[in-house]
Amino acid sequence: MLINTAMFLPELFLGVFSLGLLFLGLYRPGIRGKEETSLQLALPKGASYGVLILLLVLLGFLWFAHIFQGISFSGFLISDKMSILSKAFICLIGLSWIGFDNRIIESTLERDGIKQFEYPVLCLVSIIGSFLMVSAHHLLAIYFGIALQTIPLYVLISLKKGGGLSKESALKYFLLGSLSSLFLLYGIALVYGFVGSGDFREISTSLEWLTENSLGYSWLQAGFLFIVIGLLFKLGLASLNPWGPDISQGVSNAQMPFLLLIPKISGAILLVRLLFGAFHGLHFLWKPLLLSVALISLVMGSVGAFSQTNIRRFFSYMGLFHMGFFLLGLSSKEFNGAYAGLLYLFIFSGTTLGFLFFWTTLSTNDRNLDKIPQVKGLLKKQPVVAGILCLLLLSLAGLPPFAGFWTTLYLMSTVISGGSFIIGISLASALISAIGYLKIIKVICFEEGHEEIHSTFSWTSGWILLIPFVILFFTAQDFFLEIIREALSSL
Amino acid sequence: MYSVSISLGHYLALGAILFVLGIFGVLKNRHHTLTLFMSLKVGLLGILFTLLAFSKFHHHFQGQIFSLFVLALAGAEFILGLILVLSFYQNKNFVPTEDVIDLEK
Repeated sequence: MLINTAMFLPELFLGVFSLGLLFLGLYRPGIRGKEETSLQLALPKGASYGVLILLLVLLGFLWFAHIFQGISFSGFLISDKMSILSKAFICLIGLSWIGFDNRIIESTLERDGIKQFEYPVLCLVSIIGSFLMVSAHHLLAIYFGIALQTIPLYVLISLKKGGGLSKESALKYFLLGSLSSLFLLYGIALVYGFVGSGDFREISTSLEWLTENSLGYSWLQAGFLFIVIGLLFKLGLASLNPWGPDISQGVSNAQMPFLLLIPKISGAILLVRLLFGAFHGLHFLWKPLLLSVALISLVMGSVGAFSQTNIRRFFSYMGLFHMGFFLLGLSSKEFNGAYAGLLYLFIFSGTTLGFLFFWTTLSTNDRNLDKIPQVKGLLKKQPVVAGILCLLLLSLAGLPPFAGFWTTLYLMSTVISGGSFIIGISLASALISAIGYLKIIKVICFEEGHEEIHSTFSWTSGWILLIPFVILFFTAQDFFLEIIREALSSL
Repeated sequence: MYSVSISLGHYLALGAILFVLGIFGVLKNRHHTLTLFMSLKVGLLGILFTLLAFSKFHHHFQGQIFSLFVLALAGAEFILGLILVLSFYQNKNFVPTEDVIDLEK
């Protein structure tokens, strides 16, 4: 019991902390009228590094949990290198966006009319859900994690004021989310019924002795396909999620990582754990499925993003494209493809996060920037921010000196045995997406704009959390690859 | 007189029919959000039926506990969905249908 607790100390700590924040917000007199969220009240006065302390505490707990690895809660949850690595990554993304610098994120939220004290609580609960997802070791734990992650997101999305767009996106997200949980649950029910248990180890051992002629083998395959389709729905992939861009159009800029990055990372880790852990015996079934979904998403994502002017729609389509590349890595014949896919996922979500962060600091006439043409001539108005944005865009476009190029190259080298058709489609769509990214650089550097653009970015505040990302994207790649390799081999 | 015994297959068939009806309702019937909700509920019912039948078949309680938890979580999710419909109604004065999508294409 004590070891169980020690393994999941980060989750327990976050749960207690978020409940405490909720009570603090509810019962502290006068908080509703004030413009400060309960997170600011709970942390030391005037500490713009308050969340940094929270992050360090959480990372400390994760390091502590790293000592006690194994399966706990009677096979319900697992704590291994993979789960700890992805938890640390989710922590960095999530906590840096609740408002680590009070001025940057909070002023963006305020411009969109989000002042509720529940905001950080909902974000933290969603992060707990992602933690459960990445350490799931039982079919039911998958559903718990997904539900705990998405239910706060429905509320988060609907918070933005004005026009009812956010209400519409929340409703669409809800409808798609519940439809996909329906698929997932039916698959879980079938697999549970024909294996007799939901534990991942028991599923993989029973798949070893089941043969084509066994009773219910085809039902088991059908159940597995339902689970994978439900998860791909959650990841918002290829024509399974026609409303994805609509959903991200209705949210605030400052909520984008919670909608675009964290669900995709945790869902992708869960997918890797399912495919390479529990259902590896069915690889003849999922490899062609993932390959076709990957190719369709590559084409749809890159072509769809090409003509978008709204930044959130643009990144929603680009997310589709990048997840397509990730799936392409997973579906390749070698185990190396999975490393390359995970490296690609981590690096590109980190780079996207950096871009969204610097975009979020910008505003014009006290409104957040929505459209790409609004940043015309940014290079002359805000040279520092424009320079960093251009560097991140070059990395996203996959140009040589940056991390994006090397990861794409590594991924392509693992799928090169797939044949000229796959290579051709992936190279063509990578080219189209690169042109899409370079078009933004053209708008920033070479076009003339007359509107004044303000930036809340300053060197003295909020930059500390960016250091790990910069290190990640420009240097220590071998080191990072080694961590991922170890984490994958522990599955 | 025929004696008909109800086996696992019958329960599974009923569950599958309910699930397919639910999914079909979602895909086919987009005129009203509340009809969508009802279709989702029918699909969920099929899933719960399947889980309970398997639990009885295997003679252990895991499936029943599954279904209780799923029921509770899905209930919470659907309540939230109804609240979203209500807040949409307050903003726009009608319940959303398929053809009111006013987001930019």
